[in-house]
Amino acid sequence: MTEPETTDEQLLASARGGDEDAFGAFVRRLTPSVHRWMVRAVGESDADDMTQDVFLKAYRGLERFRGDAPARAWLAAIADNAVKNRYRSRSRFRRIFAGSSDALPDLDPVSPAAGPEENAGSGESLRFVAEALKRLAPEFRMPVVLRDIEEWSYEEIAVSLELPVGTVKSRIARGRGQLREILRPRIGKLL
Amino acid sequence: MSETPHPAASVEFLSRLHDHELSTAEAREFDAHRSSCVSCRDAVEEFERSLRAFRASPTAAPASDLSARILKKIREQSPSRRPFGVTFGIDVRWAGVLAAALLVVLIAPALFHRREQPLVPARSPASPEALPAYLLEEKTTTSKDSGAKVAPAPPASAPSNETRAKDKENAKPLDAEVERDFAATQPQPEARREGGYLSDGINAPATAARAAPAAPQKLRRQTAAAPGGEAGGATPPDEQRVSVHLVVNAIDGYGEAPEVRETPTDDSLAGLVGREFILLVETGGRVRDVSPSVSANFSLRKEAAAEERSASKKDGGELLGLRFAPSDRPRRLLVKVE
Repeated sequence: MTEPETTDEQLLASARGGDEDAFGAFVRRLTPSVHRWMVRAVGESDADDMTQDVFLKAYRGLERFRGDAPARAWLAAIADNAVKNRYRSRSRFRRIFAGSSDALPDLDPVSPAAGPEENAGSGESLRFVAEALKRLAPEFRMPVVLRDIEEWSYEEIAVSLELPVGTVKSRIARGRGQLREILRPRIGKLL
Repeated sequence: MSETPHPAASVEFLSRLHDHELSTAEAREFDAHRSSCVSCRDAVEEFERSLRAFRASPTAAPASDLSARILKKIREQSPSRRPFGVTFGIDVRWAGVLAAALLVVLIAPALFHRREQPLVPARSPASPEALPAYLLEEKTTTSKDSGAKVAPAPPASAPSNETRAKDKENAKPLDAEVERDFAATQPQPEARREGGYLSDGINAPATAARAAPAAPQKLRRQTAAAPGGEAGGATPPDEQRVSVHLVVNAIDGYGEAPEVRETPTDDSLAGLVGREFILLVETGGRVRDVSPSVSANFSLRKEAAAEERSASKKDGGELLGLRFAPSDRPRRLLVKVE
């Protein structure tokens, strides 16, 4: 019953002191948020693994949490790095085995027979959006998710990702532009 | 209108428009442009729809056991998380405290010893019995004279009055008058730290070069009464002898001056009173060279000034009769005749 009274930062401070229960409470409290980020950033199929990865990295890097930024911002930074690392390694893998140097991964098929017509106006179309997000450049994903899904301010994102506000604005604008390009072929049928 | 640039062609502009970050003038200008520009209207519409689609994408709630799985995974991969600061089972904070304490224990005795050393009275190594009787007497003291042949100088590292008082207490035989003279001829602490016992003299460079390692020893001095006195301060009051007093200091930076084993007669030294000489002493203790020194504080004393002039013809050759205890290297000493 102490969880609602304890802030995220207090839980992390206790966890740094070796209180594993505090870290457990922190994980339970923030799992929905991190999972939501990851669904947008990497897709639903990988969201569980990525959420787990984020918390594992957070646990291992507890000493680096200084408490001068909100715990969620610290976690978002870890998530951002996890997303970038994941697609950096995938891109390397594809270059090695497919000889491709494309910056954007291919759009995964929504279903074996998925086509614009079948996807339009249904739950499939929304799934298509989620899958399409995988084509976003990794460095744009978390900034766009934090801004357009979580509705963080530019300043909050800048603090979290340790970037200048101008850089954050630029990345979000370019991410949004990329998103538009990805969705353009089906945009008329989506909403 | 088609030749004018389309603001909506820039994703930065569209992004700022979406975030309502355009200035009033920019917004008014773009509204005017958009009403007549189909491509800009389409671009804005397309941009907004893509963002709406993005926001409306499904956000399935995580599985109910996701947190439990995450924690299980963490426990598996990091079975026992140690508290902050614990590495390899060692608490770094306590280890640091322990290391600091150990360092203090190791270093403190050395520092203590180093500070204590100058406080030990720099007595002549020779026993009183080994010296001529006249060396056992100080010029003016009465009760403290008996054992006093060497007086300690204040340590260079702590020239405070308190330390000097402590030194004096440790070296009770120190003659009060000699101590006063000594204080009068002492340079300032800075000068002493730079080895400048003779900072105004010709020997300053040589002493400064080697002063640091043995500064405490260098400041020690050795005094000896001239012949004519009696051991134990039992000088008959009816004897009106001229008592000559020698103050010997090492100026070569190799520690304290060697003890005086033999001195010339009192009469021969009487003409040198009030002067200073630099002696080059061989390892065997024999004085090889004597050269006059100039010390402003010392030579300008009123009672010595007149004799300084008259004695200027002398070269201090009488001091060649001095004999010192053998040492392992030639020594350079400053001798004041008082």
